Amino acid sequence: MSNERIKRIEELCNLFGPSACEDAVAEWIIAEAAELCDAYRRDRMGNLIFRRRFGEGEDPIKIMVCAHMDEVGFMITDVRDDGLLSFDAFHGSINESVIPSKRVVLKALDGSMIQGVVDSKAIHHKSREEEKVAPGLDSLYIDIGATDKETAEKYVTVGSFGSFAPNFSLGGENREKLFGKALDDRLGCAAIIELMMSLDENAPKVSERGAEVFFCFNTREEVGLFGAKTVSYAVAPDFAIVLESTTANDLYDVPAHRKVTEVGGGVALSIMDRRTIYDKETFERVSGIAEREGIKTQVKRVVAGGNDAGVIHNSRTGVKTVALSVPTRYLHSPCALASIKDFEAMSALCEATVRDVIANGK
Amino acid sequence: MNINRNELKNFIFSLCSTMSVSGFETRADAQLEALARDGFDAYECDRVGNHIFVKKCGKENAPKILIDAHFDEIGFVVTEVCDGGFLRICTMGGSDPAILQASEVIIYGKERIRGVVTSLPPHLRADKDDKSLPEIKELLVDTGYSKAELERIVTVGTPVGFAEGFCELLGDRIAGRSFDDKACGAAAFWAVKNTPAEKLAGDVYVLFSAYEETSRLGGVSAAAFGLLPDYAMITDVNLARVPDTKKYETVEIGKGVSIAVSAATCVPLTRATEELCKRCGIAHSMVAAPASTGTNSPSVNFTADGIPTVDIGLPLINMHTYSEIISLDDVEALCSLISEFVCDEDIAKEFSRAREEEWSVLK
Repeated sequence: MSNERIKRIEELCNLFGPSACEDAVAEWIIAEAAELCDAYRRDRMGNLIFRRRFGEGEDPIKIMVCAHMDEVGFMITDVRDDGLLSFDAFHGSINESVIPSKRVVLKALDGSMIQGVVDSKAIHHKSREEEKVAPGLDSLYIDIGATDKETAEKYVTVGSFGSFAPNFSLGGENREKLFGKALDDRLGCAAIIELMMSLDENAPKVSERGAEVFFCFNTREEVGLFGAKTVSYAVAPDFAIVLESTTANDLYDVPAHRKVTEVGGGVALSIMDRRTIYDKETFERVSGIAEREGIKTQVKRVVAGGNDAGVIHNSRTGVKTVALSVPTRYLHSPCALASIKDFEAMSALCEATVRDVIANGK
Repeated sequence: MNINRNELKNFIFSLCSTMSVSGFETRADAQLEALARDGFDAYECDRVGNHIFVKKCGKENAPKILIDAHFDEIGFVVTEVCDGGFLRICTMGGSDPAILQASEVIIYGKERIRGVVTSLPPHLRADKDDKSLPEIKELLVDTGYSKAELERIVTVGTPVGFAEGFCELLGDRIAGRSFDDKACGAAAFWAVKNTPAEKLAGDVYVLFSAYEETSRLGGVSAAAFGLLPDYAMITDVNLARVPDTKKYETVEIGKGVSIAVSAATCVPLTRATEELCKRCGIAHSMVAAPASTGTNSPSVNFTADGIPTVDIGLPLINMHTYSEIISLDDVEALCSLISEFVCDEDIAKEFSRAREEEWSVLK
């Protein structure tokens, strides 16, 4: 396990990037990876796209590898007279029961970050009925320490963005488990950077056709796969790989058929989720590559969730698309958990697949 | 008193980081003994797990003044080590089930290891309108270890505490864990340490008491009986006002300490303390706690032949969570009050126990 890899994941996960507010993540990635490519641009949706050409052919195969930069977050909906902030979690993307008492960060009007906590009624004041249910967002408030509306409005306003506070750490045996917010999908971002580095250091075998690889860091996945929609239209790829986090529900007391994926069980391949039925031929091909390379894989067992593949596979006239995911427990919570081993498997299988497509020109 | 706010704040953070889950208070004894060497004459960890710091005034027949803050914090203990590296836990003290999911914890086994309380992602929630909370026995702590390795580090009975650290909010507000009640403990320790011995009206016993969160009696009863102070001040956090709470059940944060008027404490001492605040310009508010204060005060007030006790509150938001919020202005007010209280000769004179039994003879 390389320290550089861990450091990169840690820095990425701790960055602030709720949907539509991904600039800090994009700037970090540009600083880290700009020299590894021919060109890069940010499109009008904020998506960050790097381009690299391999070989000389006139009709290069276009490969799109993508991950999303955004994370689940909050938006301020009201600054109250008492200085507390009402807020909404994007589209119900966060289970309310993980919000009370959590630490959050907000982007202040001057661009700096400020800290807050989520206030709620103390257990001492709850009725027996209230104790048994999760408080709704209408009875939770972000407290930044402001004592009145005027003070609070020096820092935030209706529409200010927030996310869970940075908290990355390592744990478990040999410190192989990753704990923290935004593993979904900064792990995917980290894997693309590894791919860029690897293709830069060790040039791929290229078919006569040549190849053009687009490394795409998408925005606004968590609110409806919006970024990927415009990226896939602009890039018009022949082949797409989506790098993601997927639910792992492999808890002690969950029956086997409900364990969507298992942490430590290898990179997860999807057959079907709520947004995509994946191309069978591509699935078989990538499984074959994994077998050949000795990369540990597992198949996602429950039809749940969805990712950018949902708007890529049906873009323009259709795109052969595969989703590779790191099984992650407690997605969309302030502290998710994944295994570095599964990340390494995802990174390795992504690279092997890209090299395979570049070498075969199809 | 002269207070360096930054030093005081860092002292609060440091004391509140100490592991003192209810029932495990003695694990901090070495650390507290080291602290006591600077500014106190004696330190003792008694048989119940109470920590007692003594500062003498140097006068003969001086009264004993007790300043109490409970040292234990809410937490958990392990009840089962499960396959896959999960732990089943139960609460020690009244943690709110609403804050548990996705909380980070520290497991204080042979080594300190990290864990996170399990939660259900929205992707797998069958019914979005189902807001029912799982009971703690249905939740697990995920450690990321295998069962075999975990069993080497953890056993049934190992304490578990919240991991969340401390942060500074705007103005005078700070957020963190275990301010209930170690922020008061920090204030008491700080105030007495920085009050010159020659100014004290008696020998001062700063008590960090055990078991407040888990036992109605609390470790404080044993300490109060053992020390038999002349009079006592109990300092504990008090529920601060947030939306959806009733005004009369709460105090306002940032407006100083609260002083409880209660049939379960000593009313004359309470009024004398109120006068002291007025005289010294210490921000305070009076709150009514008719039958009980919900703190250590009644236990002390009715110990042995009775110990006059006043109940002081530090306003706190989000009680029994790891994001408790307090105001440093309020903590400074508490420090000033404690310092004035232990020096006040009028109170010492009025509330000192008579040295010899005095009987009024009826004719």
